[in-house]
Amino acid sequence: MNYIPNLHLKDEMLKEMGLNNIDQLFEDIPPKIRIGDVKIPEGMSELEASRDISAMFNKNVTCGMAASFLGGGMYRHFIPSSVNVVGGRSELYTAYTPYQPELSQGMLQALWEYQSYIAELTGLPVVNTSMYDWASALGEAVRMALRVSKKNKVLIAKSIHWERKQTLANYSKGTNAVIKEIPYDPGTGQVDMGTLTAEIDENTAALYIENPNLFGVWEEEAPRLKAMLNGGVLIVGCNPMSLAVAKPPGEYGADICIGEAQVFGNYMSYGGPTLGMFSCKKEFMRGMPGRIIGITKDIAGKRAFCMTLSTREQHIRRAKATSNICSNEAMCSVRAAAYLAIVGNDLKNVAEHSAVKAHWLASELDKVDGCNAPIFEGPYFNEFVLRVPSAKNAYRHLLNNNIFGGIKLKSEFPDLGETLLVATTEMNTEEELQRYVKAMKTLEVK
Amino acid sequence: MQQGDERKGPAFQQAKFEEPLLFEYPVSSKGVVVGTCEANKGLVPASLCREKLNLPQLSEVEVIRHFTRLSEMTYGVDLGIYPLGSCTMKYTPKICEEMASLAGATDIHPAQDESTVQGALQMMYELQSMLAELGGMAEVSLQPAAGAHGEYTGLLIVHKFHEVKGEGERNQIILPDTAHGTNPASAAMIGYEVVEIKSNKDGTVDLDALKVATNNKTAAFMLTNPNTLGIFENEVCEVAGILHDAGALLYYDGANFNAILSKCRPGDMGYDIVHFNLHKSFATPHGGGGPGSGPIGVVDNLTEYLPVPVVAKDNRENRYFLDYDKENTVGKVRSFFGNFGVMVKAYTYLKVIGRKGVKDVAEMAVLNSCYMKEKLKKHFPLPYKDARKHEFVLSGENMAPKGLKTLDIAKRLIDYGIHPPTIYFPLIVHEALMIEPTETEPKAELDRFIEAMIKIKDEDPTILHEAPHNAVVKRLDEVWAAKETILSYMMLKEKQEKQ
Repeated sequence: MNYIPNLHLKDEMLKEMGLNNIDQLFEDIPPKIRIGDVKIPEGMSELEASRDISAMFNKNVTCGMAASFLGGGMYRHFIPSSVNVVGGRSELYTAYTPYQPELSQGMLQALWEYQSYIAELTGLPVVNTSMYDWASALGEAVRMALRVSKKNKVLIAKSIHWERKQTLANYSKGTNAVIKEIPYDPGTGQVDMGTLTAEIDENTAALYIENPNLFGVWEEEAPRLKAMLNGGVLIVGCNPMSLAVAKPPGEYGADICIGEAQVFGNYMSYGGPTLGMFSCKKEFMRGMPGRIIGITKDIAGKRAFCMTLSTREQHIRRAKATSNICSNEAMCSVRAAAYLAIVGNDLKNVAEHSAVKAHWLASELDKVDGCNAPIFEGPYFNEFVLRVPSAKNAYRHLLNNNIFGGIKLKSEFPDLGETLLVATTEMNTEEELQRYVKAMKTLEVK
Repeated sequence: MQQGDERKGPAFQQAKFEEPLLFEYPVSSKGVVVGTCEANKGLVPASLCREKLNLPQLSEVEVIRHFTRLSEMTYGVDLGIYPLGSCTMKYTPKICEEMASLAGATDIHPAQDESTVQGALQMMYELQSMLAELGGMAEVSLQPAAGAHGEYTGLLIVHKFHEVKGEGERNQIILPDTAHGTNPASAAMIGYEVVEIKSNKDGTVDLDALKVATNNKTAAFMLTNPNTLGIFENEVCEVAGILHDAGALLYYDGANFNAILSKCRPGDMGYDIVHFNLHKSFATPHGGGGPGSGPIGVVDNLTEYLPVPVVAKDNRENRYFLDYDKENTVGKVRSFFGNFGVMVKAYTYLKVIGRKGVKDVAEMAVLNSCYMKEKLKKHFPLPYKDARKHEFVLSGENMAPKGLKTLDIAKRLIDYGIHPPTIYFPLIVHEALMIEPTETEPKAELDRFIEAMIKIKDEDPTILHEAPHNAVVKRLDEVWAAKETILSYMMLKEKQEKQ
């Protein structure tokens, strides 16, 4: 099978060019490195490929086939059919980056609308069309904070996902950043305000916290932080679904807000494509990484859209660009815009359902002998830490009952003991919640 | 003439809607997507409670019409030739979309137990193997999310490699002046000093200049091949020799890999690290900017540096697993394992076209491009030597006597229903028009582009100056956009309120 319409015209086209053999077009490749072939499997018909690949993916146990309580930065939310219809518009998904804005007005408007939704939710007016994911958005946010503050001490809450910390460690290479972790209060699970206060000094470039944090816990003191920072940059990370019910970080002093916007209309797809959300206050816009769409007008005065502030970017500024990012996650942003358009203020219901289920589950699990949930006293959103006698046994036992019971935290947070990070969304049925509790009770009996 | 002639079928005609912003629509009655939630009190502490959520309230039909209208004002490969140079805008087979949207691919969480995602891991393992074979590399990581992200990851490996060897003082990355903008940007992000060398009269690497630039400060040389002029760097083996003799590495920017698939391999040329653009050579759609996927491959002595995890196979138990065991790993460059959904599309593409198909891809991509080059070089200057691969760069400087620029040609192409090529890149060609048709364009479409270019050359300059005439908007005032910076509805409202 191939997708090459001129294959049968090969000789005719060669002849028209005064050539008789396709190899003549490759004579500039030195003979010693030319190869005749590669060792990959033979091609197949679409029918065979479709059969093979479907069979391969049928070996996966999907979250829909099990009961999934996995979160940790990626969540399974309902995706309305209309979002897939928008995502399936091939004019949009087969377009390139809108370098010729006149021909991409639709794509540009859709991306501008995505920016507008994120501005509304985060309370910060400047939004880019996307970063790769939450972790790389954190890396870029810290780099931006170092640029604008011209200081080098970066404080980050310990209660964030280890993959984000590892990614940040890479993204801070080539900078003079000194990164310091701020512990959480073992009782509340919230940032330890005493240590934080002690660590902030005149060199503090930025503070990064997540709200809710990795443990699902709300950082209640977040509105106090900006004032404590001596002009340092406050970066707030979040699951943006929480913003349907939570105060926009821009309203409590965040200078930059980041997160994983996959939750808006994008599938989990084993962890990607993801959608790195990134917004900031107006004063920072010229230091932003990534593509930004702005409103403009054509020469006749009609409203139009185009990429703007491109002089920050690699294709213009090369080594002096704010970031190297070129391809991003634009189509995921369009899906997010379509999702938010369809859901509207129902988003609040999605967030509340997600949270209510977690609260019900935690309180029921807490009644099971040997279980403690949530282990922190701090108020929480749709995710909590469950302590069990043996995380390994619980995880295995739940899996045997077709339940993806949570993420084991022990290797990254040994101080918490035997724990699972448990998340719920509106997708978890009452039956699934009860199944979880029942499974834990039978484990206890064993 | 605004349309293609009858014989070749109609050209793209952009829809012209006056489509309001979602935020400008009046409030509608809307359906319930998930239903209201009881017992929702006290879920958020008082200090963090949102006062009001104020998103547009639209009915489904309005939303669908809105986005359908927006799509009809957008040009994609599914509507016609999209010859952006170095972007490889080929047709993306529909079976790839379908495979990536199977529930077995979409409805799996990255934290699932390995036993429940064997199919996903198998796909990743096989894709890693196929890419390694195509690139002549020892091992591949699928983690980077895009080409520039692959560059960044590759350079992190360069950095760590020298550090482990005790040569951390190597702080320079060399690039030719034809390099993509992402190359210097990626190097600078890691803190490297960028050393740019001038190309020779043939438009390829000047070996003498490279020798002068290479020393014990050199960490790596980044070189795409064929380069951005579409010219094959035929002295690449000598280039590799110069770098390796100096203890430095050679990095392959895979943006132009489509031209040489199954014809030669970066590994055989002496490259140490390669990134692949799945959204270019491997036919995954570009999505108006993304998502892409930028796997990297490395030679044998660098496999210990790859980001973790890679997917490995336990042949004894016939089981796939995530392998975190890499002694000198650079760690993570993002969450999870990469843009899995994009990988599925590239994997499906390779499965379908197979061993022979990849060779046809390179041959026909080069043939289509050379065919266009032969026809157009009589009408526009073609700087540098003649031999080209998958793309070629013309100069629009012959339009200067009429007071015209390459930008005018590009905007006029829009009136012919054709997406313009890349313009003003590479920087070493004055008034550059960088054209890459790919292997998936029918000959009639190539001819339509050629004819349009030839016609435009002799058109009344005023028509070109004011182009496009036929698009939903006239030429844009991009300076106004940068001055006013209206980047969201929040900013638009603020501006309107001030007036």
